Amino acid sequence: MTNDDLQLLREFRVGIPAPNAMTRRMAYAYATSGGASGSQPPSHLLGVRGWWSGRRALVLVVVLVALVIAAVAIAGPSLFGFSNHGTRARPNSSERGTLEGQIFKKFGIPTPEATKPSTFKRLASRQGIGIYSARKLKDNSLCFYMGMHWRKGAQSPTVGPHWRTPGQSPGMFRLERGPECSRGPNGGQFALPAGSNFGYGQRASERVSAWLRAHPFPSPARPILDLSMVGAVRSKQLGCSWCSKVVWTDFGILAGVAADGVRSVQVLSLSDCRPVVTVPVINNVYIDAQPPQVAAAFLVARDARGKVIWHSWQLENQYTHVPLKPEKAPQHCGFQKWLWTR
Amino acid sequence: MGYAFEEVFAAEFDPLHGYIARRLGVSVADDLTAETFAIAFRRWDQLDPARPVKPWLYGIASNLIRHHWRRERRMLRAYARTGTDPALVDEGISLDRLDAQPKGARLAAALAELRHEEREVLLLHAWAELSDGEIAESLSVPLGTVKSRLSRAREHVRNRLGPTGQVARESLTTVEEQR
Repeated sequence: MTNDDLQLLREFRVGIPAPNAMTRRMAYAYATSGGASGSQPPSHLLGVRGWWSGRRALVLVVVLVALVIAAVAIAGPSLFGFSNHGTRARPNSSERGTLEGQIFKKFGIPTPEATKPSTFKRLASRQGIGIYSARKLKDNSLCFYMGMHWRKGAQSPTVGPHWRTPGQSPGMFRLERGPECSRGPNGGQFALPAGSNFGYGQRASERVSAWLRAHPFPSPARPILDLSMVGAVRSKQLGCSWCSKVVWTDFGILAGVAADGVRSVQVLSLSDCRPVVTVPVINNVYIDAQPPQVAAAFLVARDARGKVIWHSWQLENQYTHVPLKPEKAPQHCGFQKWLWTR
Repeated sequence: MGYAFEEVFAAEFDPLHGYIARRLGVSVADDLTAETFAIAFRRWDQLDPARPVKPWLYGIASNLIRHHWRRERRMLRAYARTGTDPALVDEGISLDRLDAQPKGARLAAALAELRHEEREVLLLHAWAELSDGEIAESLSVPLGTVKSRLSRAREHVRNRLGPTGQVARESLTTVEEQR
């Protein structure tokens, strides 16, 4: 190969842009949280060194486990539990027009599994939004899906007015999500293994994405599995001076599944950290197809006493490029950063 | 003194992401780069501090990319056939670049015809800028194998591009039919 030819090869696809800061942060969080395996990072990266440190860590773990068990016993419903076993959904040929049928086709549930529809369950269907579960044939792991539930010819469910429905913007917007399966909403190109929680949607010409956590669901570390569709709010809609030119996250659909111990899910606003929407968890499912259009700071889960038992990372958008002004922006809502989900 | 994961991540994330994105598109690159570093993080204790980290990292990535070789070949063939690069179009990237020009499509055709192993070595050499020894280390193959694969790949590309950068379109069709 001549130098010219080598230069040609080096210029091939050179126009692909570098990843943005959000992609880097999400990747780092994913990598250091153990990735798909959920295994622990090396001890030297945790700062745990030597026999004494290891033993102290072990003692600490034992104490924490005892505290968690005691707390769970006092709290009542288990954060490990998931009581909604759903009802069978049969994606047979006569139902190809329904969401169940579409899920089988579009989300790539393995064909042999389609012959065993007993693994495919409808957990709930409210406000035109359906929440489903299925077990993967390969490892029997549980997958969850969210999608709009309507039949051809019927009126589509109403979604937040600032969001486009597929009918309004065909081909531009996917409302179905399945972040717990290795083959997700992108028809098989979605290569993340089960255990990660990554989702994206498309709104107008913008792609939005979020990685929330990688702990197994349900567990105390992950009492909810959020399937919401999130998008961007431009600062001119926020009415705050300090956030000029910043783009923030909002919810188009607020929906997901929750462990038995979760009673409600809330979105805290970015402007004042107050709850802007509270969705009750009924039969382990929460759905709000029309949450208010508000710049969101956190997603939180509350137990029966109203106590926050989980909160997300600070919700942010990958198109945020303008530095924050922390002295004015209530970014953390009182949450300790080290408690943020990993 | 060993490597600090954070420093390696900061230094290598963008180049690795760019390398994978050029092979499989940005969407897949987002996932595979993150997965590469997740695996690296879990195996950090196995990393020999006396050896360079880059080949080790690209070796992990190569193992992940290997599962997508059909996608890579499909994208290259589509580019060669239509003159429009799916890796750029899917991300809404402007086509007003070199890749939109005919020689980009011809090069895609030449790359599509390579065996996966040869393409791997060639692109690690050209895009990841690894030396022959580093490629051998990252792919866990003998140095001689790397040299021969690289030689064959370069010869193939050179022959397909020809003196004027012309590649025979029928050759691509023939290869597709054979497979």
